[in-house]
Amino acid sequence: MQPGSVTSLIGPNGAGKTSVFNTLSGFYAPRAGRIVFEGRDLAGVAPPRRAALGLARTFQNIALFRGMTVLDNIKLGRHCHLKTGPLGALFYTPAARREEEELRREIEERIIDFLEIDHIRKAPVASLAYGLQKRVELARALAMRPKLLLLDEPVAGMNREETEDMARFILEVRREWGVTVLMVEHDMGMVMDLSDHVVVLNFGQVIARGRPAEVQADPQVIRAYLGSGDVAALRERFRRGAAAGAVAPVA
Amino acid sequence: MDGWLLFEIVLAGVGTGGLYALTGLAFVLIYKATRVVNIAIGEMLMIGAYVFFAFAAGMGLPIWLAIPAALAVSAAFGALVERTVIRPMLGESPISSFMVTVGLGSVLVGLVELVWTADQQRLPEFLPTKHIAIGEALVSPKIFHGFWIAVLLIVTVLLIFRFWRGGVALRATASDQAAAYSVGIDVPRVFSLSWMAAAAIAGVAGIVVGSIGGISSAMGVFGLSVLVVVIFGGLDSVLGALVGGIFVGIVESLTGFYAGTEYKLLATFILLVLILMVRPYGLFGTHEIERL
Repeated sequence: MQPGSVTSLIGPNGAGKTSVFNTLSGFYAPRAGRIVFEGRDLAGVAPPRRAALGLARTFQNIALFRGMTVLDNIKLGRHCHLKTGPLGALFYTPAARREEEELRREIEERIIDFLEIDHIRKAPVASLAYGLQKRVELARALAMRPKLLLLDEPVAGMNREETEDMARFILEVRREWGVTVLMVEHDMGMVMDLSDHVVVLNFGQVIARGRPAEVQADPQVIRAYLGSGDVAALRERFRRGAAAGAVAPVA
Repeated sequence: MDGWLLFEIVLAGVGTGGLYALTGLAFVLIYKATRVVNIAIGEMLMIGAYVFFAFAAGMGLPIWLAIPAALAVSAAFGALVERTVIRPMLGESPISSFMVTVGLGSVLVGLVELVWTADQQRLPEFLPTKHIAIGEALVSPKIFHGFWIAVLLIVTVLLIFRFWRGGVALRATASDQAAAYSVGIDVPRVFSLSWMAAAAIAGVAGIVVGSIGGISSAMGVFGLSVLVVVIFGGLDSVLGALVGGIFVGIVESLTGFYAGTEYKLLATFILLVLILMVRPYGLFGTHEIERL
């Protein structure tokens, strides 16, 4: 992946997209192949260590810490970069205070304002609407100071307006922070609009990769999605889907 | 006169209740972090008391050295148990890890009887012995001081859990392990730390309980009342453990006075049956707790 680019990973259900994510974030160990991040082989590196190196992810099914507020959830994103020990926190030493203030400032100014979630920052996450929860998850991932952001279906189940907001956020994240983005998404309109690069998986194999337009035209991709059928018709639906930003048919 | 007597009995109950609350807190800590129902909590408390006994009476260390040493050994013991007995049970059914802790309790009792015999022993005196009078009510000095030790420790633990990121990390782990892992929380370390902290907290309770009533290989029975406390409050609720601890303490104290000491545990378990019938998830617990 090119640093600073947006890459999409697409493919039919069960193609192994989320498995790729789980392997990247260290939940699964690869049977073959290597994961190299900034010139460093990640084999045997535990998930918390990978987070500290700059890998952040969101989940397909929202995985926020229920029972905590939005702010606490976001602050936890910074967990691996903080140093205050239990005694420092108990007596609120100057070092602990400095760290806390710095964290607060960055999260309030850069992340909460940016994602427009200022009005809900004291709310318990469980009470929020689905689209907002997705946004808080993105905020938590950003608090990790990621270099590579893994987004697992960032707009699944969202309405048009929420989808457009999310697309805007992803582009701005890349522009302002210079974060590299890898996302899994079924919304073809979004994939085609946002991506610099698209990789298509089917049954764990990469069947196509390239710029969005090239991938769209690849007959193998079309077959994977549809099994068989009228290629021209599907291509037309893809194109219309991309133009309208609507969800493309997924076999 | 009668009012003062009742007050005195309730105070004694609150005193013991503080220790129940403290031990309940240790239990909840383990349950929250690792979802293990630790039946051996009473035996862990016993280990803390015996290790203190070994340092203070056996090796003749001064009290101020024997207590921290005993707590350090308790914590190390907690880490050992987690690493060798609990960690391999990861992913097994809750009932399996529950049974493992039942076994652990028996092993610990056996260990204590092997090393120190089953006879009752007295811990060296270290709490003040002057009776405390509140109005006309007299409170046993050991229970009075034990209560304040429990309160102090509970407050410290609660503050750490509220304000230290490690405490927040524990709450996060309890809420969603995969998400905790992915934001950089070292989940195995949280498991380890929670067992260490719980063992040390139970150790404090053990030392205080032992200095009130002496130590023996049967003092793990204290854990039975603690079990009722946490079921009363909800297995995963810190507030529940605190309220439940005080409540069970008062119930036992009242029963002990009006019906006789031998009915104390009976009252506790009648309470347990009532809770299980009315609110099986406890007063403050999460509703979806696994059935065992």
